[in-house]
Amino acid sequence: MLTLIACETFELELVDTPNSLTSASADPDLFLSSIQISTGNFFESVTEEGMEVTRILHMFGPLYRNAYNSTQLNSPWSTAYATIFADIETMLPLTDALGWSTHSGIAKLLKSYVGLTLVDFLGDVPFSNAAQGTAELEPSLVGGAIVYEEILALIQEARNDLSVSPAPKSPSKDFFYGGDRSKWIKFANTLELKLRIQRKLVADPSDAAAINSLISAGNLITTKADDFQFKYSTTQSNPDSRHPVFADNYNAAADVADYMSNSYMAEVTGKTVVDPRALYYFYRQSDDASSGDENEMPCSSEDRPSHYAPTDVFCYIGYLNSNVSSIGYWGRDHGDNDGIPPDGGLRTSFGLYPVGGKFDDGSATSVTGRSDGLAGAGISPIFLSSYTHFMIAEWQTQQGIDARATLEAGIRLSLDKVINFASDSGNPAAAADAPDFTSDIETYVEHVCGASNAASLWATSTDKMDLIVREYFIALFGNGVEAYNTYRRTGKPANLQQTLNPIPGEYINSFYYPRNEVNNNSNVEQKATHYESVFWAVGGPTVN
Amino acid sequence: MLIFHKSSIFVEILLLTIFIHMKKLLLLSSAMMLFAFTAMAQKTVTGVVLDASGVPLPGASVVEQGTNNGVSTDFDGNYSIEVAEGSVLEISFIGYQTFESTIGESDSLNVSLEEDNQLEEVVITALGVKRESRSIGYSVKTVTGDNLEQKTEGDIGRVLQGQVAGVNITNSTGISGSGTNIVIRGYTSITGSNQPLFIVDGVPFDSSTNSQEAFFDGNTASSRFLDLDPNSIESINVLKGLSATTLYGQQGRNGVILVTTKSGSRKISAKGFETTVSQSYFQSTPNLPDYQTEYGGGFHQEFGFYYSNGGPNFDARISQPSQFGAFYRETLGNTVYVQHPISKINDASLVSDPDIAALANQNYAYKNYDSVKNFFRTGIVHTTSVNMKKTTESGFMNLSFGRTSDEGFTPGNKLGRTNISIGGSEKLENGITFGGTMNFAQTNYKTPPVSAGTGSGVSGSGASIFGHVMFTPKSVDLMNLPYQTSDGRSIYYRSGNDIQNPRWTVDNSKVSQFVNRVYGNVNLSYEIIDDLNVSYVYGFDVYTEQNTNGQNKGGVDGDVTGSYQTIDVVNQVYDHNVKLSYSKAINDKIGFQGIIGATGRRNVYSQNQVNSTQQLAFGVMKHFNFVNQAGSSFDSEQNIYGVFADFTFDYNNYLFLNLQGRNDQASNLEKENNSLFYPGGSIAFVATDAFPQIKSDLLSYAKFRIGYGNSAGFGSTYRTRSTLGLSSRAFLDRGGNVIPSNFVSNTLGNSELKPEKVSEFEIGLDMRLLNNKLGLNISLFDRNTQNLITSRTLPAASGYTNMTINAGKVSVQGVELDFNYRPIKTADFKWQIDGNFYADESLVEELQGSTTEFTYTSIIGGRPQNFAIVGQPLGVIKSTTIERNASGEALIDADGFYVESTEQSIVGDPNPDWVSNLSNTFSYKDFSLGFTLQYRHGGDLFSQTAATLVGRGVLNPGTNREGVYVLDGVNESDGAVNTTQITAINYGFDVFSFGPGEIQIFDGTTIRLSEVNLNYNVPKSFLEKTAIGSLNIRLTGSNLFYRAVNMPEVVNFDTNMMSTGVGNAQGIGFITGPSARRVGITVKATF
Repeated sequence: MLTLIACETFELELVDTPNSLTSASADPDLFLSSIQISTGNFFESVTEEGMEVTRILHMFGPLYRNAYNSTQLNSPWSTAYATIFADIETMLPLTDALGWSTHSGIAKLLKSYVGLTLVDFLGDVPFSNAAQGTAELEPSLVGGAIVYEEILALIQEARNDLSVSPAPKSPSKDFFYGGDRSKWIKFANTLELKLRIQRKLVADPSDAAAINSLISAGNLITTKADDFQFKYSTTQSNPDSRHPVFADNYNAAADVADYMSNSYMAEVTGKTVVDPRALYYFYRQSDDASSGDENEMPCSSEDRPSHYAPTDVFCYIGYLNSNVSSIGYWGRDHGDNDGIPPDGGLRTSFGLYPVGGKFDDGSATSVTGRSDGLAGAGISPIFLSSYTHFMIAEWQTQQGIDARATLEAGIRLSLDKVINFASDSGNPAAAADAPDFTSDIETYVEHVCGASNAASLWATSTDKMDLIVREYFIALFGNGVEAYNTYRRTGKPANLQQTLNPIPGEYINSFYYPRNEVNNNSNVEQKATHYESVFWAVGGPTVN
Repeated sequence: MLIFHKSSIFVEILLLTIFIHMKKLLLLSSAMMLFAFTAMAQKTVTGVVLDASGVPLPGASVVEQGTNNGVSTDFDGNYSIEVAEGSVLEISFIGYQTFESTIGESDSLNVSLEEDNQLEEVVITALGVKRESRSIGYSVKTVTGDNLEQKTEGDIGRVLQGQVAGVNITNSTGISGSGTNIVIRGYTSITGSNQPLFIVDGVPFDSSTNSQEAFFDGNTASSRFLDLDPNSIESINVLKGLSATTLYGQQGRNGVILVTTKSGSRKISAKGFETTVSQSYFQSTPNLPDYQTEYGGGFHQEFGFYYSNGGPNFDARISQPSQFGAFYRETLGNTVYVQHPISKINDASLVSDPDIAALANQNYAYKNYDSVKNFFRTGIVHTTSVNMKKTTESGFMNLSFGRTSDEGFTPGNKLGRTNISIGGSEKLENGITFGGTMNFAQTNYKTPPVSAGTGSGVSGSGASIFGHVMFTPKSVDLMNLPYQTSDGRSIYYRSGNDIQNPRWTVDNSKVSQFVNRVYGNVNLSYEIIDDLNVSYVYGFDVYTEQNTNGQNKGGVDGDVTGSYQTIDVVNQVYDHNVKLSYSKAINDKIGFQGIIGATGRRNVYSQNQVNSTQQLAFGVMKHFNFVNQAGSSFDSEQNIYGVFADFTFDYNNYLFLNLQGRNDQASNLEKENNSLFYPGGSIAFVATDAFPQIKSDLLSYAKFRIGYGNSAGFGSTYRTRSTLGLSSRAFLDRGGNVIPSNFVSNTLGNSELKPEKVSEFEIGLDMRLLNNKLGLNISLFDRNTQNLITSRTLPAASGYTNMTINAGKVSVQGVELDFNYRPIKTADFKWQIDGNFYADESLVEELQGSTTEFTYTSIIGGRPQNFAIVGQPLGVIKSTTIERNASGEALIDADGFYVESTEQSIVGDPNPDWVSNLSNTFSYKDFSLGFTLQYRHGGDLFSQTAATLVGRGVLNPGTNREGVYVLDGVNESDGAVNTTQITAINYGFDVFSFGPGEIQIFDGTTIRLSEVNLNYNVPKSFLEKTAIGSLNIRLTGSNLFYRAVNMPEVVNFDTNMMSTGVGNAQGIGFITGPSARRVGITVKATF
């Protein structure tokens, strides 16, 4: 009888899982890969919300209070803290012990970027007290201004780490700069510039000098080669490494998921000169948006809301500028929460830039699916060289310095980036139908801010800040983080399209804390309203 | 016993105690015998005491009349007594007529006792110990074979529905073979399992639902008790309270369902009844909503090929051509013809097949196609069951065979099951009894996928057969429109082709489970000396479960390139159980029974999984035909062993005291925390025997009982240590390089994790009244938990997202009532009423630290969720609400709609207030007619089905769809009374369907006619000349009628469906399809 009882039945310590590794196998190189990939994920999980509230993409609404409930940011929040910060907390002791300071520096910069973004979207957040595991299971909120200071120090630490001589081991995989430490230092400096300009309204007295010296030193992200961007590939599965927006919108033929914003498409296509970027940003599946069947475009049979200003586009563009090729730009108005009509193969979708979709060759055919365009080999434009220029132009204007040249540099960098996107990603065929835009670029620059053009928008504009930010917004397609920040910081662009509902409530000055955090962290109280401003916007412009 | 290293001291103490005790008892009884011997000439009489059907009666009292000399029978009904020749032997057993016989020359006296009004039953209690029901201090409910056989459902869980007070059973969907949720006496664990333990023929039987989570999206996987054939079951005992289940240890914490199969039972079949054959044929049909027939697809009375059904009237005499806009073609008779939907498809490549392209030019009749009804089919169930049994004086042998084939009403759904079982037992001359059972079950289950339908497609990445079918616009001709192109792609009526055609899903998307299972036991027992018995049972239960989930390329939902997933599960349970039993009447007043024992159980689970995507050749579902493969595996092993003791004393057969204790150790917690001892006990007092004077015509029998029990829980494996995450393929860069990554696992290990403890106090009263015509059993219980093992969601700011902790106290208090009443009993006519009632209240008393609430169900598209909130019943539903001002008036926005709150509030309690079942059986001669009613009072539920079907206009809940509405409330902006009109269509879509969550919460009160059956026993006289011993014909209908009285009647929603599958979510309903109504006939013959 007893021989039937196998010994293993009585083993009483089976606590180590056979299904995972233990911490003894941790490899800092592999950790740094996870941190970088997750930073890309994090950016993509907040950029869309930022674009929606700034009318770069369509927001469902209908009211600001209903547009996003508190579950909206569960995912980026969890990616930031439970993945990026937790991984960094675990990796730093290992890299410190090994002397791999390049790994440490990169990790600290990514943590800085993520931390800044959390403050910018949410206000006060846990930061230095976060990701401590059992030591602090329910971290408290830390004031946004304090987090900014902590990040400033962290950036300095990172710069030191990245300047160690001789150079320590390079990371086995650097998604951003291929192990080039000097570019990481440019990123560190640009991040500091961004931080200091961001809080200009509640300025620390030392900021102006620091900003000026960063600008004059010039060791910033100023050329295309310095662009801080996460690159996706065309691999569809195991794992899906494509741009997530491409994956959503080019999954199957004629089945587009998102809506473009009418307001933004009008902004990009609404000048009297051609902006070549329109054909790269937007892919028109139909050339017939103006006479949309009400079955497919319900607003086409609805009255223009009486509260819409004459400058507001409504329902389809072409309403304002019938003189340009705005035909077929089929999107939605701000806060339009109608049910989804059968327009998946008709409405305008994302184009070639930055998600890696299809170049708009004017054929007005539905997307065919996964192999369209760059097949998802797009980028997350986290911080591009053009943005640096627009930001500096904003600063110069505020300081009373003529920013025309800086603005022009920003516009040219943006146009260059977008127009050469296919060839820069090694697949020029994806934009083979693009005409030569060389002269269009010159015309565009001339029209907006030509150095000697007395009729240019620059020369005639009475609100240079508005002009700069409008151009910045056009360059920002794909980056809702900077758009949302810039909008609340400058109050520009002025007069963005209003919500369809005449009384949408106050603007989303900050997002609700994620419900998962509020429900599980007794030290985090949900904010009273979404119109609580983050620290740097207090006393700033009122936007809607 | 030396093998039990860890607890050997405990065992030794127990053994010592029992041996010392036994020595005393032996001494005492020998002394008594000696005394008797000196008085007169003695002889030894031996024999066996059986009941009328030949079942041995253990514990029957054998007394020499007028003396103190007495013994009780052993477990096999044997006795041996020294008596004087010529004395009278009195053999009695409660519930049976006392037998008296004068001792003559024979040394042997075998007795078969006649039942005494069938009052006293012998019930099987923990570890298979048979006890008189009068001696039990807790509530046990027995369901016999008659109530289990020949049922329309082949799932034993569903067969038990409504038969036992306090046992709540819900189906996950109407799919044949889908999971079944069983919860006894309420939910006590927040995130752990609340499902009971199944014991089949004395050994544990795995009853898990191996939901492959995202794969099945939680609600199609079978529950593994599906592998049991209800027709092969002799009886089921449900042990509800912890004082009844303490001996089962931690596995018994949620109650025990004790199954005795025909192969494991010794019950005697008379000659001519040794072979039973039954054949059933049932049909199943879906319980569909009552669809309206007047209006078709569109919005605001304007025609369109939408999901929504707010279009013009079908009758061309009522509708206007202008309502059809550019779609209008012509009117013929009373029917409008519109452009064919195929002509509007945006993706030209979809409509390039000549036969599809040809449709584009045809006109399409705008009429009621009643597609939903036509989509479903009549399901067919065949069940064959054969049982053969031979019982001899020394043993028995049984063979059963069962085959069930159940084609569900959902196209593509099929369940097949074969059961073979053999069992027997024999007693050898040397006193050893040996026996065993061996069962083989093969279950083959296929279904189209079912995932959570949100009223606008499905949430998650899978397809759902019901997600789009249920609200198909009335004007969509689902059954005649093309659904698949020549290259295999799904095509449907929407121009964007953004809905996967349900018929395409049926043909191309499939989930299956194929199970081969062997289980059974070997048992040995030996009577060491009189009254001392040692027994050993070895149980085994091994199955392989092959899961597949695949969809051909060309779909719309899920991976459009095609996907195929296989998950092979091997589950093994081995169980050893040794016990020593001692039974002795200390004198004619005091009896004693004692059991000590030890068990060791080993659970091993392993699964291997391969996921493939990007199908090459259309239609071939094999991994080789896919471009990408990814594999993964999961293994888990757990050992649990326990030692236990159980002592019962009885006084004068009317007062019973039971004491028990068990110590469990489990391998999945850290050493210092892996052991827990817990005691239990109960008292039963038969007042009508203690004070016979209280017996009257009114009161025939009364027993009071009181019980206290505990159980432990050790949680699932591998929760104590943190692990390192590894992704071997985290990313593929543009150079095609595979980038692996390490990361911190989101789960934080908790080395402090301790076993949880559940305690329960129970009191009860069993009565028979009105000359035994009315029987009543009532129990009150109070169940409390301590150190509940809970998977806590951590705030992500901690760096982790979950951790298993000991936290929380949940209590459940409840009342159970079972009753039976026999108002009329004549030779020809009988009327029998059986019923039960159950009510409970749960309360979350404490969560960890300062945490006052958390949710334990997942967020699906912002829909309501279940919460554990301190001071509230477990599982309260929170959702968004209508924003109100200080005086409670609803706030209305500028467009005339409710302002939706940004945060969730409590909007309902999903726990029913009470449930009750009532069955009536009328028998007249050879006919009987029975019906069962079920009533559920309260229990709130979120119903996406009701919200969507009403909101999208396929039902007509009595509103005027062409009218306008003004919502009650005040303007958010200025506080003035709202006067903004909205249309009925907007009301349906924006308020009822997709408005604030509280609108979609309904009260779940339901009345149900759960079963009707008509029986005919062919009279014996007809069968005399045949080989047939008995012949029975039965017509059965189940779930024939129900009505959720506080929901829109037209939805016809079945509140007994749990679309979240088997688990702890309650009252959260997505679109998971209709429930089944089944009718059919069974013929059963014995030979």
